[in-house]
Amino acid sequence: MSESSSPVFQESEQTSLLLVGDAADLSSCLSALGQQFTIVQQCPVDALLTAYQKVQPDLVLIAAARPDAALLEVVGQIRQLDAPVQPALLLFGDIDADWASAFIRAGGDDLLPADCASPLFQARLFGHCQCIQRQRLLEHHRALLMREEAVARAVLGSVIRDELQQDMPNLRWALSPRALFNGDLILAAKSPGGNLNLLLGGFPGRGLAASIGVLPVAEIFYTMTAKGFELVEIVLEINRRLNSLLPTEGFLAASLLEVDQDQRTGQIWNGGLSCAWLQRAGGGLEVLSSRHTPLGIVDNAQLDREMQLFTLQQNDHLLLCSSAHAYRSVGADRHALQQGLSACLLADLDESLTRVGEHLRHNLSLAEGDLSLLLLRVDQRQPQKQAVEQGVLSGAGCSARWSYQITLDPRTLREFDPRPMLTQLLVEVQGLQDHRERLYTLVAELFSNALEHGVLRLDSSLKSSPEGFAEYYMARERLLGELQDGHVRFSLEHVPSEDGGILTMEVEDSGSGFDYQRLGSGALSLEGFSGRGIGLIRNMAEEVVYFSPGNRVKITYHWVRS
Amino acid sequence: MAIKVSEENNVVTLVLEGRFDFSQHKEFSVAYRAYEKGSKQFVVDLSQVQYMDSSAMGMLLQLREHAAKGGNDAVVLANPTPGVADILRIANFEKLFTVK
Repeated sequence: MSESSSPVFQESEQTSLLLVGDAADLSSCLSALGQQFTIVQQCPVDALLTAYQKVQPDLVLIAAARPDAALLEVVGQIRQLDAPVQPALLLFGDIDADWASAFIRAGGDDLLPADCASPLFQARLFGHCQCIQRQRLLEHHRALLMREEAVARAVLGSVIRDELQQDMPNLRWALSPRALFNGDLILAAKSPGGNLNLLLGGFPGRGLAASIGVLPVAEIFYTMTAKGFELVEIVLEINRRLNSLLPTEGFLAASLLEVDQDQRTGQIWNGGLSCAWLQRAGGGLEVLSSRHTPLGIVDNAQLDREMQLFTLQQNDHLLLCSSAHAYRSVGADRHALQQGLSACLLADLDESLTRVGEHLRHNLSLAEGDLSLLLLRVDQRQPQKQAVEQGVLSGAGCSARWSYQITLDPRTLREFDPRPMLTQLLVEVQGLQDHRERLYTLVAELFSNALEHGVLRLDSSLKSSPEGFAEYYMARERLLGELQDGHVRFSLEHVPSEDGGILTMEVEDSGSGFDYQRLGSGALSLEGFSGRGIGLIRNMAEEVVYFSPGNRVKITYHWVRS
Repeated sequence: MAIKVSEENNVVTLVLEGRFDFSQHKEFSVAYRAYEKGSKQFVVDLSQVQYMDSSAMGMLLQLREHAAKGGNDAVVLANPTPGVADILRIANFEKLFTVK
């Protein structure tokens, strides 16, 4: 309909009328009404349905003074038809109360007097025309809304990245089909270091207003994860952006999770999500409770950034869910909700997802498809993938000579994570986008060795057990918070070579070093001394040199122009 | 749902009942906007509210913005039923409001 496609509603000039009845009964109407209405057709009662479907009139005027069961049936059929604007079905003539009542109940709208020319007849008919106009206005707005939602669907559809599931075989998710309308959001991405970042959340309200925040949140999440930012930084940035974007009543209740690449540890920030659980393989269920206000309400200075750490073992499951209605039954039966969960988790992850969904919907009394779910199973730890062999590491990098140095003092070390920035420097300045993962890993390993073992003097053997891992990171937080003296210095240099270039990275810390000579010169098992770090570095870099007393290391990375 | 409004000593009490959701938006908003922004403290009596959804939480945030400045005391959420109290707790709203 042409009115629906333009945002401005145009009132129709003429209302179309279908006259139904015997020709004799209708003849007087034609002259009385022909001026003001477009009489599109006349037909006998038994041809009403066909005529109606053909001409789609606004008003149907029926001359049928005597009860007619067939007419009632057709009235019912017309009402069943899918019309954006329903016609007015009007009976006229000398009609008794019973017939009138039957007609109205079958779907008719009104009774008009027998005389088409009378002022009363004309007035009431005109009244019905006004009703039709109001319906059209409503339909116009509805059509606009449908268009908006179609646009939202197309835009948001490009945000949720389905192909990631191939890269994460132990992850399953199901976004509520009505996600567009209830503002649910699921995001998953891997950091250059191989950690898995996950987000599940929901905006309040419905429609476009609820989904408008999805785009900036997704952009921040994907970009910062790709650059290797810490989860807490991502939380803060999302909070900052939502504060400036959303109105007062808007917020994002969400959980952000990071699962370490080895799947032995994880951390979660939960602001307002009622369903976040860690189902242990051994049977216990831990609730990862919401400890913070949702995002987009308080500013960053007031936002609680405390993360919950947890260890993971094979066959543990992480489960997050969001539903606009989850709040409703929250008091109701959390016990029953949590009880049946472990029975839903089977060897087949797709089946597990289905069962968990059914179980939750049943316990929360939700309609089909009103739930968004994220399920991660902790699989067997993969042996550390062999880093790409040295050889042709090529790129389209630039042949410039440059150097860069940064020294990080205790305060900077507390507040600033240099890894994304340094990686970005190497990637952008050198044009080595394809090497981002490798470069990030090198920077990250060197930095963490320098900071944790050098400056903070943490013993890496603590990381060899799952509980030790959590202890290690808590000690790291504490020691970093208390740090008064110390520094980490990064020196980067690039010199062009005939075939590409040579990148040199030197990291020095204020610690007392270690017995690097024990490392030997052979390639170490990646699981060996100090965990992954040194073996990994050795596999990626061309040359690794330690300087006495072991608090300074220089690595060389050669790239070849493709 | 009719909202009963009363005032004493610069504190306005809003008594809600039944469902506190988006359908109450206009009435709720009209009730507190009758007072000049930043001039009053508010008490929202939730003792008769059986159901609250996330839109209602947004409405409380709007009320908080309209109330007098002064931290969490500006808006008191009084006597929530267990289900509603749970919702407020999960959203950690006691960090933004005084929940009694």
